[in-house]
Amino acid sequence: MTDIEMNAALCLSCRQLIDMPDTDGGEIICPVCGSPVHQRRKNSLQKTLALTLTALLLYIPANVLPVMTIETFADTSANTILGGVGELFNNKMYFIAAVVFVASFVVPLFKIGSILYLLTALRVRDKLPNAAKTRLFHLIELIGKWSMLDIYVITIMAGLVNMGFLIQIKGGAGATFFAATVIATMLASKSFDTRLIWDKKGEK
Amino acid sequence: MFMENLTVTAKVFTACAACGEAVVFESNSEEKIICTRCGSTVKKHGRNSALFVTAFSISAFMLFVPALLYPVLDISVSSLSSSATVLGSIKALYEEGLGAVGLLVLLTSVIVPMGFLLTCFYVAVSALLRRRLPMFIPAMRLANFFQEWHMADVFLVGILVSIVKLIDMSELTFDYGIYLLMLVCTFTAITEVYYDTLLFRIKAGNYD
Ligand SMILES: [Zn+2]
Ligand SMILES: [Zn+2]
Repeated sequence: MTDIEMNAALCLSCRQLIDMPDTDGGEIICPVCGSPVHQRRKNSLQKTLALTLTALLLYIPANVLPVMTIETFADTSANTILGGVGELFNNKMYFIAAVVFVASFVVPLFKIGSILYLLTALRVRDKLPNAAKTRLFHLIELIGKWSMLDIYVITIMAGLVNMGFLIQIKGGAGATFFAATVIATMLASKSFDTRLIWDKKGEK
Repeated sequence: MFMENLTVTAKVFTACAACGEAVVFESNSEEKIICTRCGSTVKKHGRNSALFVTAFSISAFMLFVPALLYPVLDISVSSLSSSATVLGSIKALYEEGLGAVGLLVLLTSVIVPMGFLLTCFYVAVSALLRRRLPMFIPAMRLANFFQEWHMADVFLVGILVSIVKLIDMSELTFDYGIYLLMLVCTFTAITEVYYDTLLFRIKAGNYD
């Protein structure tokens, strides 16, 4: 039996199941912890869609603009995210190249794609069982923060390699867009209410 | 003699946050509860979890302070050398005009993880003492929020990747900070495995 069938709502703050009063509208306050309670997240799908599309837009400058510049006395080179991966690959550091490629390129796209798929699947019938969709969502929640990896790499390198005219590493404008992309995907998945997947009628 | 069995076990009403299925269990249940409908975890295993969270969260928190102040890496190119601390690197980003990124790094790798450890510790101590300490509910809500945004572990892997990237052009040595950060991340991971809002709220009871 679900919370809706029982005419109850779950407090997401303290996880107490609360009886819904008969009076419609009006905000319910959790008697245990005082948080506002809604049966389902408010405007979940609109928020998720808006944030996912924002992430997708931010992802373009994040990949086109350099995230890091290396200035030596001889020359200056600017690196995009994929450029940095390519450099690691050319230096035969295949494992680290793969780690950075997955964290900064595959994970954000996989996350954006998965959310768009889950949103579409709410309207169109598809073959994937609800339990599998829920597992997919738990997975993207788990891996989402690892996209920040490159941002931290830039932070450490910019902090460490700072030797005047000899060699200097600086962060680039792409880093700001990339960080914004990751934050937007994280906010998107946090506003998605997976219970809506299960609320669809006629599906077990 | 008349006092025995006065502690009647109350029922706890909750629901699966992932699918909405209602779940009822005894308040003294220590078993892990999995949602029968979608397979998500409703409540984690309870035995010793408050003790583990108490111990590991405070240890991680205390190690965090020196981890921030000690250099994590030392580098030398030709005759020049420099070392990086976590806070110093964030400052460098700010000075290069990437203040927003610097602030984000500061929040996700320092402030939020430290806040998570501290609030987890407080909630776990309440669960251990079986009474709500003052400000228990705000601490619990903060812990829930911090849990979603702490990224000290990603930061640690970021340091390791930087090492590989820099190893060709310079001489690198690990400094104390990185070992401390590794311990902090391990202890934070253990804290997160055992921390459970619902479980600890029930253990802390309904009264101050
Ligand atoms: Zn509540
Ligand atoms: Zn469920």
